[in-house]
Amino acid sequence: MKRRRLLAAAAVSGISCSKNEIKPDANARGPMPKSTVAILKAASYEQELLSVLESGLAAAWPDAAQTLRGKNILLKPNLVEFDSNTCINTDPRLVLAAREMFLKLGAARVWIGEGPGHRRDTWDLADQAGYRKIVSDFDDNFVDLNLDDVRPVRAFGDSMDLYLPKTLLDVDLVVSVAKMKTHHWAGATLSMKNFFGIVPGAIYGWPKNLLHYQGIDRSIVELNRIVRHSFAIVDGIVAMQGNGPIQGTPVGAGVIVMGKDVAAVDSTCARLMKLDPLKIRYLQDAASLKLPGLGAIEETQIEQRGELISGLAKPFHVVDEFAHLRLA
Amino acid sequence: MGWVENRAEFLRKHQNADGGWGYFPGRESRVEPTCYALNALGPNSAQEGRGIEFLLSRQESSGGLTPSSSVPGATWVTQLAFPLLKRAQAPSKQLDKAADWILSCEGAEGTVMQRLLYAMGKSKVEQDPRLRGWPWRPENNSWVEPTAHGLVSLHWMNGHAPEAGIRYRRDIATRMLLDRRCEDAGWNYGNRKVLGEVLPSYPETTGIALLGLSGSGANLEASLKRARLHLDSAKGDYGRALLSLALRVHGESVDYAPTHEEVHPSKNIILAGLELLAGKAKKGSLLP
Repeated sequence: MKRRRLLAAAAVSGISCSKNEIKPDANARGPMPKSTVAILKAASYEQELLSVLESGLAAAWPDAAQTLRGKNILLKPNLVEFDSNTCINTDPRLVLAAREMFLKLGAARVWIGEGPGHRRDTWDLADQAGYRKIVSDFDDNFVDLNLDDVRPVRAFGDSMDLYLPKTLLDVDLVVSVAKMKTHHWAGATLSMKNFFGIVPGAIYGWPKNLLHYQGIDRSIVELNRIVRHSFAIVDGIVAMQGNGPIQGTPVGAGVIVMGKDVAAVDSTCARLMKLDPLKIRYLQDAASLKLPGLGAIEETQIEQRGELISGLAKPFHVVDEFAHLRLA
Repeated sequence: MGWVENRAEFLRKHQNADGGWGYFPGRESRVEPTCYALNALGPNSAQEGRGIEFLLSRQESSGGLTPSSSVPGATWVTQLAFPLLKRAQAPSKQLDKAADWILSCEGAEGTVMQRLLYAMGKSKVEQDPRLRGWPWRPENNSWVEPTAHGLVSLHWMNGHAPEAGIRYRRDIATRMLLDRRCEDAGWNYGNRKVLGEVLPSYPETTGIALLGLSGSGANLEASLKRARLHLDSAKGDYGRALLSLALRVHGESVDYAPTHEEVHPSKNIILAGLELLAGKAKKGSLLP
């Protein structure tokens, strides 16, 4: 990213750029290797999702089985609010299938963890959203990330200690099992924005005001810079358009997107939503860091596997402020 | 063993060696669950002395309390702890400092730009930026829950802070809570309208806001009705316990019964404390 873009972003968030900017990786050299992203068709939550996810993982991360055997994994769904009239949260059937997939691969333990930004009763939210009913051993494997014990990590240009849940920091892999949605402050919320839920409310409040003060786009990038042991699964079977992330309307996109490079996954999702990822600020900022495995957002930097974008893309409605994101 | 004794035993059993409670058994002691546990077990419980010692150990030189020993920096938990410290007759000097911290901590909203946008009707959120309550952390905006606890703490501050300061903060913070009230007369975390869309209230924050407004003299008839409606429809024990507690504190008759006879499977210390309080609170409870 050009420095003037950083300055502009900082001005919007009210933060001094010189003090806090996230710097590109000084060690990054030469062309970045391509990031692999799998696009999978999935028409409904009623269908058998485990095999769909397994084929996606085989395509996006072929050596996952060797890497994950005996490891501890945290699935981070998007569990925000519950409204039976729309589709705010990652569907629990997809989370269940993801959990089964990683256990089948030989993971030692697969936690499910979330820290909603508005609601204090995470368990009730999980209950209402169907998680406790569908994931039979939910009670023994759920972590309320808002209330977990915490540990500091240096963040935001080394300007502060950010306290994050120990469970998240201690696992071997964090899987962002996100929902494909438009977002009225960020344009789109996908696997990267989903990490807002890892910031503990017990330290930063409900809502997590710190992230807004640091700037939403900047915070999205920073959280993903910190949590590099990640993988993304985006639930676009039924997605949300319009005034997301809560008050939008459902749209059947019939797709699941998976990959290790969360920015590449989110860029692919944006293209499936007929939004221009190159104009989504946090994706631009992630790309500018030039960190290996985070930030391939140009089509030429991404190796798409599975379905073609052109076959599944459909235009999502966005609020007026983000009309400029629409692809022709 | 009935549910009341279940919860009490659960709390008694899981007090940590340092006198505090974690959010869950065996976790690091934090101020918030410690306050709920101490409140629920009542004054003069066998656990109170060590619990208060833990709270006092969290007080920084600024007078404010930090959330735990591993997280520095005073936060909103100061106003949550103040009534307990006062009730336990903590040293006056420490109470004075805590009161001073609470009175001087306020929301960061109200910049010239925010006021201008609000006056022009161009603000993205519908909040009167002139009305500052309490933030979760210093230098952030004010929100419903820390403001409600701030208002409760003011009731306990007589003799530890100038009366004019207490009155000023009570007036502004009460108006702030009423300004943030949703169209359905309840409260969510503190946004009633965003980008022109009306947002609904939540059970738990409606309960918290009503606790904060107890003894305020504000007309809360519609909000108490909303609390009743939430109580009839809410499924989560956390929200139901908070609503029952708030309604009882406002003098309404409510029989709280948890959905689980045993302690909730989440093993949440705050929830156990809230349930105990919901079962026994009376009009004016939590106030001096």
